[in-house]
Amino acid sequence: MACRWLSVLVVPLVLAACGTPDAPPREDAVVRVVTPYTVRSLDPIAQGLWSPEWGYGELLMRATEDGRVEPWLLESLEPESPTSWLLRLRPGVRFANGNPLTAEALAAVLHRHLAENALVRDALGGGEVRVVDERTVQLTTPRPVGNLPHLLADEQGVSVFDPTASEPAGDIYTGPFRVRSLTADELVLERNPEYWGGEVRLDGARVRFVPDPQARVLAVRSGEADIALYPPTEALARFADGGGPSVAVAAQPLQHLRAIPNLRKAPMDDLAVRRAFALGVDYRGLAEDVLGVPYRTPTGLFPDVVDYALPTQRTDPAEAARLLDAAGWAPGPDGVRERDGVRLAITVLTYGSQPDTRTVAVALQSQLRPLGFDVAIASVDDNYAAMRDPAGWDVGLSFDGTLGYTYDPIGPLRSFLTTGAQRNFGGVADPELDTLVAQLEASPDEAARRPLLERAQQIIAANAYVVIVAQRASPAIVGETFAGYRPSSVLHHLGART
Amino acid sequence: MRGPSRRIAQAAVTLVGAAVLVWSLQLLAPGDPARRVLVANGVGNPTPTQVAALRAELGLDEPAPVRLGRWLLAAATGDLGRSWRSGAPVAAELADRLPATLRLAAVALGFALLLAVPLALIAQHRRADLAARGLVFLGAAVPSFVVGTLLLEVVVVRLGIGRVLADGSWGGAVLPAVPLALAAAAVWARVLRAAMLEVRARRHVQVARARGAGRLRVLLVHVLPGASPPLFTAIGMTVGSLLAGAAVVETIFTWPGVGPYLVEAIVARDVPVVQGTVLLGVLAYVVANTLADLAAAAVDPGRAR
Repeated sequence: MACRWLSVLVVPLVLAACGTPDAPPREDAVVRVVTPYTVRSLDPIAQGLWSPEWGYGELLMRATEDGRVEPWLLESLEPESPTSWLLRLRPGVRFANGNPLTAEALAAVLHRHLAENALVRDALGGGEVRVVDERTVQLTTPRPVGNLPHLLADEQGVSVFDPTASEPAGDIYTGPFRVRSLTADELVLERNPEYWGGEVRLDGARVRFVPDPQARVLAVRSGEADIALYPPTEALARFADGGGPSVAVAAQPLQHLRAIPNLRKAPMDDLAVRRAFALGVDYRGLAEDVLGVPYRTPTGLFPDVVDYALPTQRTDPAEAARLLDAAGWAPGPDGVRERDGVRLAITVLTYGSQPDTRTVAVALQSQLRPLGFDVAIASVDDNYAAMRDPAGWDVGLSFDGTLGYTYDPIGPLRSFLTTGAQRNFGGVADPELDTLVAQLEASPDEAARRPLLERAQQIIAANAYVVIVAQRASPAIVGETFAGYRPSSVLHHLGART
Repeated sequence: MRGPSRRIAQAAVTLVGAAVLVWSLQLLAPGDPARRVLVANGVGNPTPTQVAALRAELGLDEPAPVRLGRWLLAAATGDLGRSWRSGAPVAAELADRLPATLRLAAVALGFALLLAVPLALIAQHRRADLAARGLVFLGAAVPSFVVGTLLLEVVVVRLGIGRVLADGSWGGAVLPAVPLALAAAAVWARVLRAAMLEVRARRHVQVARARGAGRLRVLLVHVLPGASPPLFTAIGMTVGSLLAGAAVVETIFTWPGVGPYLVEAIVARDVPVVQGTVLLGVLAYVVANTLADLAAAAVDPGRAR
């Protein structure tokens, strides 16, 4: 009888073993990646952003790991004037289907994006494209676009594909890989034998779409995946002790946790309160003691990777207290400051899709309490939607890069901090800042932009229009087979050199 | 014949009522659906003009009764609309995922029956009853996600048996089926045990014993069939929930079925997908329960009245 019951337990395990990880044969140089984001189609307009991420497509320009933007499929990008640019293609570039990338093809690609791609239309709407010679295209825009190199390096911008292809397919791009298959669960890539850029080290890649973060981590631990992207922060600590899978972190911290003060209502409409908030935050403590890997201590609006970054942020609770005292905010009986009978109470917004915002809010509550701030925390589903309503919040936490993934300072400045901009949630209205951003957009020359960017940072810091409370580099959990893999700072997860 | 006809009519009314409730989800969803569609399709900050154009295209400006009527007619022909995220027909996406869910449900039901019937039989023995009830309570009390997580951590990661990234195959269904089966078996075993205790007191069972039938024969031949109608009802209810996608277990095991599809749609506020998936669940639930009632009535005609 005991044997029979034992068999009830053992038989399912034996059956389960039928599904062990060796089911699909393992190729020699194939990397297996798990990621939460699904590639829904090979449509170059709607889903073109995935092509540079997974190495089956490339862009005209690319952001590098050391903070530059350089030509990729282009040989050069030269401004003729603030509104006219010459785009010269590299010689010998071919799509995976064998067709050449010519100026005529590029012009057709640009026309498609101008007509159908919302981001391109927004940035370059009304632009005109003219073929100059076999490898050169002229792009004319109705207004100056000084950050065009960055726009052309944006994965949501101009994805380059074979415009003569009748329908989206795995071989209409130029990358080191081509798509062998795409299902709702998996993207399978193989080496592109037509690749123009030389040797491709990997034979292929299998990218599995796994929304559950714990499942991604377990997949690496069980040996079913080599790399887990976007692991949850709380899962990283267990890989610190060495042996087995490890945590790898991208070189540049391009994800920034902004604290956005709501200037449209008290108390954050008071400059002294905003500056005290900025001085009261212990940035080092947040990054190193509270959040840990992969966070780093921010020193200003921009990360140090760009040479125009100024160290505008510091922690100085004594100075913060002096500012509040001078502004008439006096400590009340419970330690919370008051002015004219109004308590220094603020509500900090966190949001579910970034659980670390909650951790940071709790830490801010603790750090700012000795200064006399009474911090309440409100959790919302969609932080952008919540911040569009001026009521109900005083400081919104939001993960947004101040440089994006293309080291573009101008786009984020324009969309978050200029008067009336769609993401200007705090209600910043500063004529000098607006003028500076307009001048930056009109200036394609990097050297000329530097003093403008420095002045913009000084204005933002002096008025505490935004505070960068933490900065994060992309982490990944990497199995022993691919121990040397380092996540891309700019989201180019796979490439010819991977 | 009146009994089955009435049950089928009741099922149809339930289905239509549930469909109306499911559609009403759209009215309760926060935010503007058109804006959500645009954002989901990469338009980071849609302009009011873009939103208005899409609202017109999706028919969102029409009165709610008109939209409901249109949706019901379409749903009756199998058209559940298009996903706001992917733009693909919801029915087609569900059809892609349903085979995996059916496979998992079949394996889970098989395991549950293999566990529930022996547990109920063992429970008929006075001394074994306590142990059987303890197991049943344990199965009912431990949530599926805890069992699933333990299985992944211990069986898959540490022992190397099975897969974290499920492939939807029969072999891959075994481990995800275990937590589902444990939960179902716990309920079924209790239902069957109680029904068997009741049937054991009936006269025909006492006659069988008096005629010298063995203990096991009495249980299997004279008690179990008479006690099975309540089990059919319980199975019907479980089948409905499994076919709607055992969302938590399927998500934990990355099972490529309906469950994770529903969870992702809820997170993304993809209302047509949520509506379609819930409607499928209601349909499965109603059909399974109607079939269970009809089967119970066939086994024990007295219940049909």
